[in-house]
Amino acid sequence: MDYIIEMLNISKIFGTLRANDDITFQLKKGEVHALVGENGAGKSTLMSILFGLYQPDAGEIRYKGEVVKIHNPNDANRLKIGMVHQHFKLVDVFTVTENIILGMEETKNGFLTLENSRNRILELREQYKLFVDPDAYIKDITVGMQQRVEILKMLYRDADILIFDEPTAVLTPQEIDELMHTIKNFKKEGKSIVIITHKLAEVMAVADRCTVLRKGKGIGTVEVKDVTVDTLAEMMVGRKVSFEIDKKPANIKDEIFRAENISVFNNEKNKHEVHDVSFQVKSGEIVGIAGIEGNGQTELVNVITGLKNMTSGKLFFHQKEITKNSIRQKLELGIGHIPEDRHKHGLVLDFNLAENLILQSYYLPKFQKRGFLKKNEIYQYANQLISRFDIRSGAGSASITRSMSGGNQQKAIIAREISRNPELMIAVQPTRGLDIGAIEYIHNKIIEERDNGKGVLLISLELDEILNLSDRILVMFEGEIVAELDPKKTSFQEIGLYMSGSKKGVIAHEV
Amino acid sequence: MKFKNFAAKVWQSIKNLFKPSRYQAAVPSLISIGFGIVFGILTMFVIWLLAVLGVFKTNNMPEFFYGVGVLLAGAFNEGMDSIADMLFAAAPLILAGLSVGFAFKTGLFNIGAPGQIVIGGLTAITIGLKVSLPAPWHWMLALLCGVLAAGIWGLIIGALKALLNVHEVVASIMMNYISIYTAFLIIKGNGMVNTQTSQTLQLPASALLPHGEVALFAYYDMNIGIIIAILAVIVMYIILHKTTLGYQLKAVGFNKEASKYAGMNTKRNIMVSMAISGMLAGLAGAILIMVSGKYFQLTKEAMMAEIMSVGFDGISVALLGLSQPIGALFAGLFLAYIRQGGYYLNLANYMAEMADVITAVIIYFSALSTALYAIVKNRKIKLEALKKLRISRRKEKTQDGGENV
Ligand SMILES: Nc1ncnc2c1ncn2[C@@H]1O[C@H](COP(=O)(O)OP(=O)(O)OP(=O)(O)O)[C@@H](O)[C@H]1O
Ligand SMILES: [Mg+2]
Repeated sequence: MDYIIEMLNISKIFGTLRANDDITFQLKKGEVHALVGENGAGKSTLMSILFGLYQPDAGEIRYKGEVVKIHNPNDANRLKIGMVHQHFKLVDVFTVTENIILGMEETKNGFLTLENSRNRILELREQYKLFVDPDAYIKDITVGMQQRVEILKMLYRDADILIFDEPTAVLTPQEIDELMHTIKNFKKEGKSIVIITHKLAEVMAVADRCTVLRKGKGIGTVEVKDVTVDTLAEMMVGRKVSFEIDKKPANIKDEIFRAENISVFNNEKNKHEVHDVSFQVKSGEIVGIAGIEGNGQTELVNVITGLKNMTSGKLFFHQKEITKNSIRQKLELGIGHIPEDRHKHGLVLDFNLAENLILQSYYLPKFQKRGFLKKNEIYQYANQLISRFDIRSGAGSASITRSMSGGNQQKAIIAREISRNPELMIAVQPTRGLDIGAIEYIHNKIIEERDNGKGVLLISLELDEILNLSDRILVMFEGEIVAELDPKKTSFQEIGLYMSGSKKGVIAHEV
Repeated sequence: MKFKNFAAKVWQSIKNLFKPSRYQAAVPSLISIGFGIVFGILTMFVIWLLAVLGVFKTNNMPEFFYGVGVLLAGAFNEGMDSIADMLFAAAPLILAGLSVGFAFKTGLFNIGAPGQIVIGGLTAITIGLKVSLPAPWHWMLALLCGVLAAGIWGLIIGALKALLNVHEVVASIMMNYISIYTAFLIIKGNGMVNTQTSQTLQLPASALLPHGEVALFAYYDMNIGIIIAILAVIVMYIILHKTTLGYQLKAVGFNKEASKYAGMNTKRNIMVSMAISGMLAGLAGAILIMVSGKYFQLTKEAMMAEIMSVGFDGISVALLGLSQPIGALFAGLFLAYIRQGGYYLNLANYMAEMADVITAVIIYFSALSTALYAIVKNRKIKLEALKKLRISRRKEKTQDGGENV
């Protein structure tokens, strides 16, 4: 067999948790190998071991048949192994070029010489059609571009074995297509690729083989052409998963929330990020906002929740104006927010799980008496949510959230927000990074909220999610709402046209 | 019934206090203390060797073994007397360490503790000299005002950061200078200076920290400062770990954006945190100065060396104590202990500054050793886990075997 990498009987233990338990993973030269499994199954851990970030507690790694020790990422680089992490590792205040060459800077007389590196990056950029501005600062570019930077970083180091940890979780559908294309190109060049993903359609589209993990154990490796999405799903979760969403007709009642003529002007860019947006959310409905990333959705949500100031416009909650209310007042009125960026806004990563689950409610009488935290109640509450939402981690409610798997971090946020029982739930990419079982669960939860007479504002880059869940769809393009559509009467294609600005609709303002 | 519950709770917390896991965090500091002392002893050895070999000439030959003994004996050199001295010196160090450590915990670097100490001391002096009150009220008032004034001093730094986005380190350094000259201005402008010695006037006895007549407290110089410091440690421990205030302050320190998302008032929290930190430093300053025979010397150099240096020591104490209140207590005591040792070193013809060399090395190492310790610890945990894994595998196997039979 022509394996380029073999990871044999790998075990990795964190505290008492077996994140990897006797897993064998073999990568053939020139193949695209998908690695799938539930949240916390140990995928990132396994690949971090290959990349030298963790040392296995048992088992061995072979490179072209020879046993090797990979002590750190530099060793991995030497073996031409590159990795794009689930959460990017870029320096915000450096330029693209500086980030790419980080750790292998060329110097002359002690000064950095960027010219050669820059040219090399431009070459790679052309060769693989990975368009980014080498002189832009990371903080100014979109997530999709940041990912291209990470990919260029691997290529710049001449990597032959490319590991992608959930690369598509943060991408727009268009970017996903491009990435799939890029991956196929890599394969043509003879590079070997590992891709971790929760989206089984992607596995079917690009992968040759697929290895499934469950709760730290290897379940098996299959040829993708021999299996269907359903069998893969069953292997992953251990039961049948329904991809259909069971949705009763909406029972829409009074208005809960209304935005009137919201505008956000960005002085630096000298343009409107959000322009004259008005809409309402009623009790018992899910309003979906579709749009390509960067068309003002983030800013709109931040204005509604109070994280950002608006230039003009008004907000109403149950017909009372809340434009000037503080974030806490809005939370107390009953607005829930599943934020887009779970590390920046969603969690205090150095707090443990229990502490994160009371982030907005620590001061309520339930958790506090005369300024003293009620530890017992707090941990009890945490344990409830952990079992209700199946949040998996090494040390239960006392796990430091930084050590939790990406999907379980997301579940923690969702558990917290839903349990606060808000009247209006603003859910931004709520299922980003979740496994299919968890997505099914969260989607059902969101529909349950709706059926309980709550209003839901759903912002997602995934059209599937928008189409399946929403009772009404708004499309945003360049900061404006360009269409209001009925999900039963519209199609992928039509929404796509609105999203790209090729079509503009008439919006019925029913305020 | 209630009492029984309470007693059980207290017993539980005492038991918790002695759980080994609680002390794992202290290991890096202990390692660096070890390194520092070894380094100090080596230095003393080299000095001794050079002297013996006649590389430098001296009439007072250093005595190596005696010196090491004296150094390590620290505060035990002269029995109760030197223990009392150590506790006396430790009190302001502990408080300054608490101040810096608390700010650290909430994501702020309060390098302004030296200035806040000056303000605390200045206020205590002013109340001591300008207000007449009978004994307990007088010193209590002086202490309280010192704390409050320094709290405001810290608050200014916090406000500059929260409202105007001025980095706290920059603001702190400026405020440190401002504090010295403010002190000179107020002291000279209000006739609180002894023109002959150019130092502040002696505080009346009513404005000095009292010292008891029992046990250690009857010794020379000793006062209730150490008790105040220990109380402050307990209060700060409770605030940080048990209260909503501490929860908020830590949340803002760890992740400002997420705290904002969660509805916390991040600006207010930064200001509160700096004010509390300032109050602790102010307490250190007041305790430092409310002692018979202690004065502000009215030159910048003297202020730096005698008063503000306590604030800089606070940074060391906080580092060594891992920014934990309990850590500050032990680190402050340790620093005072080793300085006592240094103080007696001249008996062995070594300079007292040896103690400072050792402290400096310890601080360098404690910055490094967290990393060193992480490596060591990982190894150990891995080995243990591996053993467990093997055992459980073996069990699984024997169970499987059992089924087959
Ligand atoms: N550094 C760490 N310390 C302690 N536990 C950890 C650490 N890293 C991972 N874990 C635990 O190991 C388990 C596996 O985590 P891992 O990140 O590999 O999952 P994953 O399969 O990538 O999941 P996801 O799809 O959610 O990203 C999780 O339960 C996680 O909490
Ligand atoms: Mg992962």
